[in-house]
Amino acid sequence: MKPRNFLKFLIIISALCVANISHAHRFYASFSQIEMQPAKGTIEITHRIFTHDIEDLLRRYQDSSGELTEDVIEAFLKDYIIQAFALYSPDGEMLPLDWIAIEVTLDNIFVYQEAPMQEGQQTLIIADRILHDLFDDQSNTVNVKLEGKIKSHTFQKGDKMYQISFDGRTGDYPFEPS
Amino acid sequence: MLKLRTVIMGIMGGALLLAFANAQTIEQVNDKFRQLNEYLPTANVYRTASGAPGHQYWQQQADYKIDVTLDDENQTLTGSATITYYNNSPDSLKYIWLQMDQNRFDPESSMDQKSRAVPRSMTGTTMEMFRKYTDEQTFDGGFKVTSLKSVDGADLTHTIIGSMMRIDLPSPLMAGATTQFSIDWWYNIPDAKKFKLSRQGYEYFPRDGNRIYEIAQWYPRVTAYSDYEGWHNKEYQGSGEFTLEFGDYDVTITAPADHIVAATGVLQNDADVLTQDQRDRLIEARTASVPMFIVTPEEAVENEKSRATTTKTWYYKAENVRDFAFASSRKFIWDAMGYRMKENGNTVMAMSFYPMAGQPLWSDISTQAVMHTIQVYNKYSLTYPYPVALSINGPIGGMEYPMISFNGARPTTHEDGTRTYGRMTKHGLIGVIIHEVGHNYYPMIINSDERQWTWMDEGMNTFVQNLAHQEWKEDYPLGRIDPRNITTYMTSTNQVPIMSNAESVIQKGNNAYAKPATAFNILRESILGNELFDFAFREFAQRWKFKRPTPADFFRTMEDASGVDLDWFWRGWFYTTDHVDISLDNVRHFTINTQDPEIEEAFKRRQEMEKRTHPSYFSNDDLPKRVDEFPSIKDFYNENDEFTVTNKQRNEYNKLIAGLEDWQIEMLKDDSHIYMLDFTNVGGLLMPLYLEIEYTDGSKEEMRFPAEIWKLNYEQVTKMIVTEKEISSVVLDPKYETADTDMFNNFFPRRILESRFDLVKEEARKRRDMLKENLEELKSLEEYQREEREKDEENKRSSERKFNDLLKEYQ
Repeated sequence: MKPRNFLKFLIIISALCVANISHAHRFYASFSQIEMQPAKGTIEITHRIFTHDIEDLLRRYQDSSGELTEDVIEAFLKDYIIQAFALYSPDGEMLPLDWIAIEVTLDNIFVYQEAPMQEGQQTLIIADRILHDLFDDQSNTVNVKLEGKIKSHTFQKGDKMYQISFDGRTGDYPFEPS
Repeated sequence: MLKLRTVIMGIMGGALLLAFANAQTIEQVNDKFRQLNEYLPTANVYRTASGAPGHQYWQQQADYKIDVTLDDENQTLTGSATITYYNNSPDSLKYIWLQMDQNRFDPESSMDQKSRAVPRSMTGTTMEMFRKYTDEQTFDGGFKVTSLKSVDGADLTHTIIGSMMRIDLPSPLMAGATTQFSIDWWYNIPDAKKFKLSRQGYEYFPRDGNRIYEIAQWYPRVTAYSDYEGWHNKEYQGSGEFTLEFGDYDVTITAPADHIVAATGVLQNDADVLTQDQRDRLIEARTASVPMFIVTPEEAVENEKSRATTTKTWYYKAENVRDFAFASSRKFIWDAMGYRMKENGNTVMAMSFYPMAGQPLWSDISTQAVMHTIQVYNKYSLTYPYPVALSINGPIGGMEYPMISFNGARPTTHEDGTRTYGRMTKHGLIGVIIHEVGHNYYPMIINSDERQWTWMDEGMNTFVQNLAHQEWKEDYPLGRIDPRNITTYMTSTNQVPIMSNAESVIQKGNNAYAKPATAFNILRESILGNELFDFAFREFAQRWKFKRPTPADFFRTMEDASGVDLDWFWRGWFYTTDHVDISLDNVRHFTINTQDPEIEEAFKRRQEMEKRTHPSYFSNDDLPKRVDEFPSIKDFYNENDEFTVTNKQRNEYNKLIAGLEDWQIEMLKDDSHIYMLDFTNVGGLLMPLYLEIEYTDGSKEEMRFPAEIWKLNYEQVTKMIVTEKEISSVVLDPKYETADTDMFNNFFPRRILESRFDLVKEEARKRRDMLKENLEELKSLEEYQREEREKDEENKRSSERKFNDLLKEYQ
């Protein structure tokens, strides 16, 4: 899927929202660590999302009766994350994200994904709208790590995609014509 | 590994062995151990340099007498207050500022709504976001002040600026003087779910048409006036919470007669508002060993069917609190138990109020969690000074006020009316109640300025909350205070320091909750140790209870009471965004040169032999040698290699020994192993060096060196270790205590480290196999054969059918 189609998809998803849940002492934040591993030829992605946010998501999108077991959460997240988070190569091709697993702890749910890495790849285009359909104030910080160097970006609701590059331009994508 | 074996010449001089700093001069401005002079204010008579209140410490006081009516029909609140303001400052005041925090919901004056920006790249929005925007624009929120008079009945001039109101006094209020004024107002109560971070409001239950009200920020509150900030006139924008004065409250709340009203303070007129049964149960609950219902679930269900046309007035009094909040609903179940504090024998009434939607979880957990909080926080902070502690279930996810907390977690109600809850909801509820009740200590009693510093109350509270988790049950997950969990955040390149204003914090959960709480955990477990930390941390609470501490007072008290200079720690963790990444670059092995030629020449011979690894040294050994065939050509050099000790060498050695003192001769005989451990500070944040040394005999030893090891050079340092035994490996920070973000460079020799990702991947593979394989039904060979036959027959039948259909078409 090209970035533009992905965007449309998300807007449809967001339009489904009915009510806005609001809580004090909630952080409206997720954290994603993207490690580019040239030696392994893979890009390892770990999303850290608050457990209670996922519970809210499940209530929003599923008529979830019964216990929220790890299997229920994982099945749901498999569908959800693919709509909310995507990586693209510099030429705009969407990278296939392999689902590895989730890990549920008291505070956080960790979601593990993996993508193939091109030889010598130094650039990633990222779309991150995790929980933007649920919370207007959700901010998602992404760390991209390559050979010990880290570059970060924080996605707010309504943000464009973002290009992070270790040998080229870093900024909102697509770039404004200069 | 560890093959490097260098020889140290001559007499040992300790200093010679230390690696010196590379830099010739270190500018004072870069010294990570310099004191926090540029950050901390100069001490004065109000605040001492040791972090305690000074001998002329003062703070203002504001007492409130309020009558308020809750209109359930129209969701409005109408109040009338007489405020008594005590000017304890040495200054005379021409005006008084009040906080009008409901004005955040008034689109005309809301700094929160006006200061909200959208991303530059935004070209459209969702219908949902747009509706929310228009909802906010059309909600008629905010205080409507209908009267403001001085004590003698004269109207007072006032000016409203956003969420602040200035009252001009007829004559300046002199130091030590008191003034009184009366104010009447009303406002529309917001639907808590419609506003972000509303922290108060109502929740509507469509099933029975009832509401739960959680009422706060409901009266004009006197703005804090302090020795370090003057009037704390920073507008309420939603993120930065409150900064208030202590005072006594005398409040009557008029609500529909079938409502239960829970509030800050002690109910004064139980005979007017409770049934005789309820009053008897309250008395019994005071000494009960388990929480008892005051209003039973059955009574609550009965209550919510009615619609009272009359009202009742609940009279509450609270002393020495910095705020007042209440909750009201006809849906409330109410349970209570007296908790007798072992510190002073006083009993605190722990009570919970919740709708049926909270059952069965709430009656099991809430009041227990309230008591647990008091029990643990009393130990680490101060003895709970108030007579009640409340936990309310309503629309607000988690919010704290003195003696009363709003906690949102509840089971899921399904279409058929049944309710279920998961393990996570249960733990979430325990966690949030401990957190919100814990806020009674930080900041309701230890009155830090929430509008400036989120981390002071949230960071300290999150830290003690996690200590309380540890005492709830065994193996309670560490969560937010585990140094491992903060590492990815700490490497992100777009953070702000902890010492940032509450409104400007990015990633608030990590910045103001997790990072300071982790820092305190590291101080407690690793740097100071439990005993020293707990003493200092408690001393801070004791010094500042019912007072107004600043970050400087905290930093100073922690050092003052622990006797440890921690400026380097505050500087790195609170004032910078550096992260921890220390690399153990190399471990070099040395032994002492004994100077004895018999030993040293043999050592050189062994070293030479070790170099001879190439096959040609050995492959020709079996060939006959000429000197064996013609022995007469052998001489001295055939019998002796270049490492044979000569008499000249022996004489020189004896001469050397004759010239040495006895202790010097002893030193030469020392056969210790000397290791040079080279460290590089990659991340910038200084931390102590915690080492696990493993010896070749398999034994292990822990060594801990303070952060001050970096005092001369905070980029590179070498530590010398002298041991009897030979080292086989060294691990830096083996217990993951320091939040080191890259563990790969912590091992010597390097190890292939399985990342969290790898481990999970491995586990996922295993888990998938196990589960799927076990769930599969066991089938016999015959069954498979039968299935195969059936499949074949079915295929045959279906192809025949297709063939026949085709035939029909053609016929």
